[in-house]
Amino acid sequence: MSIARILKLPFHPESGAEADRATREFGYGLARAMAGGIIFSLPMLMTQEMWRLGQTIPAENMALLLVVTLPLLFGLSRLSGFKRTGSWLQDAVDVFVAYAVGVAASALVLAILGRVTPDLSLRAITGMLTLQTVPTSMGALLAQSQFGQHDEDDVISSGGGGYWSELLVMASGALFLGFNVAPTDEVIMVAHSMSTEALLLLAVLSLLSMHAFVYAVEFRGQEAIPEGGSPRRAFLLLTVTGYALVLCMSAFLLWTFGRFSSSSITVVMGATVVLAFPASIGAAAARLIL
Amino acid sequence: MSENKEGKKPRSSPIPMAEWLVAALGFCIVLGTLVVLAVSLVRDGGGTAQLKVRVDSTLSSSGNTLVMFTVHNEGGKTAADVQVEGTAATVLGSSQRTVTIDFLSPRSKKSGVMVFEEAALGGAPVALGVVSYR
Repeated sequence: MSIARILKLPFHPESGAEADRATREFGYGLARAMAGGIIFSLPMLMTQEMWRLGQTIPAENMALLLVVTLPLLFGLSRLSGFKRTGSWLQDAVDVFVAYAVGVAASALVLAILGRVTPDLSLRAITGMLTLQTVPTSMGALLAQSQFGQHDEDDVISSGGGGYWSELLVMASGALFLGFNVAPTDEVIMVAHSMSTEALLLLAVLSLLSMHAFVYAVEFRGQEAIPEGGSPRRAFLLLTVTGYALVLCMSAFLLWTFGRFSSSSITVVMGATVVLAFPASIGAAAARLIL
Repeated sequence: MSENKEGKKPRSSPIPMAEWLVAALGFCIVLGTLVVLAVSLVRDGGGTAQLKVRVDSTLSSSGNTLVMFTVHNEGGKTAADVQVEGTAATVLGSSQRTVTIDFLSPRSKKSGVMVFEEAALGGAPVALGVVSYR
């Protein structure tokens, strides 16, 4: 009798051959997840600001980032993930597997680069790994949808998992691309140098880009306006709401990275709009990809 | 949400033992991270940086004296732009060098090196200290 049966774990393989096949497939999935995690997050793993922020972000901000990331990973697993899932429990298992893979990939790369050393305190190492694991674990989950071999009945890219799924996908995309830019000093620098008119123009450009990416310029994965719906309705319900979500994610990231400390409300708003530009592209791209 | 082309729910595919183990590891990492962050919050909340400099060794090389040192932050707050100054009282006056350490997180240490011209130093001892940080 297998340990899985003794522990009464659900979804345990019925036979030895099935168990072997499932383990083998999991091994391949794990390797793909590791590769995906590294590919998606390498720019951030090799960014000085990320190393610094990992050690200096306050513990409460870091904990909140982790708490926000887990539900997003869960949603990504429901919609994509590195293997087909049929239950909430399987998705929860996938989330923690992706997180473990993300930590392993981050630790491996940072150790090779000499950024994680015994000189650092446990808190500093934990901070660096937690920060880097956000994009790495997302990359691990997306590895299957981008690099995996799909079965005929695979559900990946099923195209439209409901309104809330669309919002979740946009939030994930915004978080991922925002993560690439938010740690840099340039966001605040640009916000300081832009006039209010230019910031408004950037906000309009972000909105239009989001809409054009998904509905207009015929990318692969482009969505059609839902039957019975109008372009205006799609713009208001998805693009405008999506942009509001992107603004929230951008503000959250900037706050997490301590970019709002001792900044005036004008700079806070400006920096949020500036970061929302790449984040909105990320949100739109995520809708196409997922 | 997860439906295939025929509109059927995908079956619950078997989860191998290895996957349960990796997921359990991931769960423990998440829990451990939250514990470390919570402990750090309780221990370091509202603390200040406490910096100490120690000379590890001195070395002569190509007419220079290299002073290897380590700065420890024993406090609960990150110190940024840590200026370490080395002063040696020589027969010709005093010789000074400054090294800036980018940042030093709580309970961490970083090593650095200061280079003095051997002839100017004349064997005088070098005193190190942190002169400023943010």
